[in-house]
Amino acid sequence: MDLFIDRDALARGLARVQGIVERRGTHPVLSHVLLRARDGSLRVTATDTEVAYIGDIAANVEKAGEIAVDAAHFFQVVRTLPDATVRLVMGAGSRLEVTSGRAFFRLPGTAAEEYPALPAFDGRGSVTVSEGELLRLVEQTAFAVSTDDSRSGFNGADIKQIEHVDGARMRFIATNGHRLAVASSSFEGDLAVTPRMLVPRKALAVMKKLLDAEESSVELAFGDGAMRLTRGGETFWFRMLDGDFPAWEQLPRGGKQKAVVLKDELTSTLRRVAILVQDKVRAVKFAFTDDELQIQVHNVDRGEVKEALPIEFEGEPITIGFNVKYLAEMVGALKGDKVQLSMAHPLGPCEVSDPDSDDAFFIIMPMRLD
Amino acid sequence: MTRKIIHVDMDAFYASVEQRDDPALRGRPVVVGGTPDGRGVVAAASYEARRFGIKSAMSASKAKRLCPETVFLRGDFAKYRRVSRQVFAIFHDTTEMVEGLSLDEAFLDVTENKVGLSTGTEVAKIVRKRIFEELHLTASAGVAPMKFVAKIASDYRKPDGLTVVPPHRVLEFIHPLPIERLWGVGPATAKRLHSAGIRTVADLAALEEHQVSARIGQRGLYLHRMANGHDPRPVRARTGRKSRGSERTFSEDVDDIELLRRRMREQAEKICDGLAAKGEKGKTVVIKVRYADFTTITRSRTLPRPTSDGREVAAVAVALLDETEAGIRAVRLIGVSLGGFGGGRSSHPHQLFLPFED
Repeated sequence: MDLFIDRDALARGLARVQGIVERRGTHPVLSHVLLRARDGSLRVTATDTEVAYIGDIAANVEKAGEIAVDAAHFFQVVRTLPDATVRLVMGAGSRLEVTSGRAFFRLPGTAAEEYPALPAFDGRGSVTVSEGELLRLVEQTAFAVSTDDSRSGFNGADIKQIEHVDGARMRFIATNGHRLAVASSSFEGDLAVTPRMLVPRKALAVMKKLLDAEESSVELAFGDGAMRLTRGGETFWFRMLDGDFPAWEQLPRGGKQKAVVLKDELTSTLRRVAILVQDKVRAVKFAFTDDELQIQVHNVDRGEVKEALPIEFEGEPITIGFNVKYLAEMVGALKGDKVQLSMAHPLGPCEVSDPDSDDAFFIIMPMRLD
Repeated sequence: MTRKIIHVDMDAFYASVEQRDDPALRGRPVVVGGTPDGRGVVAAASYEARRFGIKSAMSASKAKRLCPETVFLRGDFAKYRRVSRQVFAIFHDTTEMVEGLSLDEAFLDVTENKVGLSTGTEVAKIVRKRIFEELHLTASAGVAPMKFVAKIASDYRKPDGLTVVPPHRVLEFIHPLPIERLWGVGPATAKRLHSAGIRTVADLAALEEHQVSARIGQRGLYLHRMANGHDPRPVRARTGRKSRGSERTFSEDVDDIELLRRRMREQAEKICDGLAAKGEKGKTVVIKVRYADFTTITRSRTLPRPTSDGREVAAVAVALLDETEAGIRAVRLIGVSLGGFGGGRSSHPHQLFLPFED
């Protein structure tokens, strides 16, 4: 391998893989990034066997070749190189020689043959969706995924095609058993359904980090237990989860008590209230009356807080308890400037939505306060 | 909203666990508890033993007389607690709202439940099925819109029975019952009710409220409401300890009411000191009196709000003592406990689960 490459483009590619490689895994090679030079580009590959990233960076390749090096280490080196151009040469004994201006590094590497082969991907269909919209679907559902592994259906976001008045939509849905998040967006193409359509927590985290709120489109393809995302010269591969998403369609969605409140006001109130709420329980009492939402916390150790927010309200006055963190995450995930809470009774599910949009809605189970 | 409450009662729990684990005991009269040579009593009797008239709380020697073939076992309470935890795990898979009454008995409020079934009957079937299939034990269950009816119903077709009392059948179900079957009617209250000409639940229900309070006092009003099918008590999911109490056995039987009052007051203050130290409060005061002839009664009163004030609890305990025959009859033991925790630091809100279909 012998090539010249732009330092910043290489650093960007390496930045991508930092969240994917395994830092303290059982297989040391999984903390490596595979570099493969050929045909005018350097291909960067990283995987932890659950998520994989392949990115092509334009390079002036004098001699093809491949080698794996420690991803974090190599990234640190590249970022600090003095010159805008970097020369990479494979030296004797699986070493990578990095030259840039006055600097010369010789980094230990691993033979490319020892790097795990990525599984073959057999796509059954593909869809295109705007990158910003895909990011929205991820942001509006990832927070609701369970962080404990008690039930696999709770550990990912389920993807499905649904019919909507303005045509087919792709829907993401996630839950941890206490709250549920549903978001949908229009798309083009053929959303082939494979047996496994649950996107795991880590894949969602990677997408959330690497997707941008751009209008340009990305391609999603679904295959045997895996999903592939393609954007420009980059490809992501995500292993899907085994597990059934719970049957949620029959869940009651709110009720006759409907309150509409300004999102910014509610957000800042929840932030203040959260200061006094105990770390584990997080229960906060919300009392809805005709024109006011009273939020009150009394904590033996930290003091008390009271706040009244103006609301538009219909229905009978209702007092209900919520985990303030759950509610704040839902409110934060909504894109409009208003939030609607719809409730049937103090122990029943409450729907949280944007009264002006049906792109997303959330269901939260209350907390029993006594 | 109409509630859906299940009372589940394991059939001859301790004895059934022993029979399950030792095939040689199956089909034989088994008693868990004291041995017939000592002063022990029967803690649990298998259904085979009950056929001979053996009952819980009977002395073991009498049980032996009723059926000499009875197998007497000391009982392995650590094991029963283990099995009980498995039973309660099944309850908790069903609903958050589980109120355990003892190792082998609980109320479940399944109005909202985790198994996504709309009727209490279906939930009760699942619970019984799981107990049978997973633990190889049987339980009887009663399903009703209120606690006391569910409890009566679970006993209706014991063992291995399921009795459902839908809301419109509640009165039809309870009215023919003898008044003793109402929750809270012990022998003393029953005697008072009988002397007022009240023998069945229907007799009590037929009275007007003022007649009830005139004939049987304030406590009667509560029974009267139950007789008319009202029992608003919620199923209370409990966490941690249920009560704190203290008992004292006198070296000689005591019939001096002043001395008994004094001892009762001291014990009430003692438990309150312990609670106050932990920042806990209780709201139900229960006293226990064992007369010289070993008959034991309890009386309880629920306070309007939780407390750990020793004087307040002592006053209630003494008032309850005055309602007994203590002093008229000689007393061997007195005890007092404060329960119904939840008003102090020990109360905590809990997160409900989405009622998924599966």
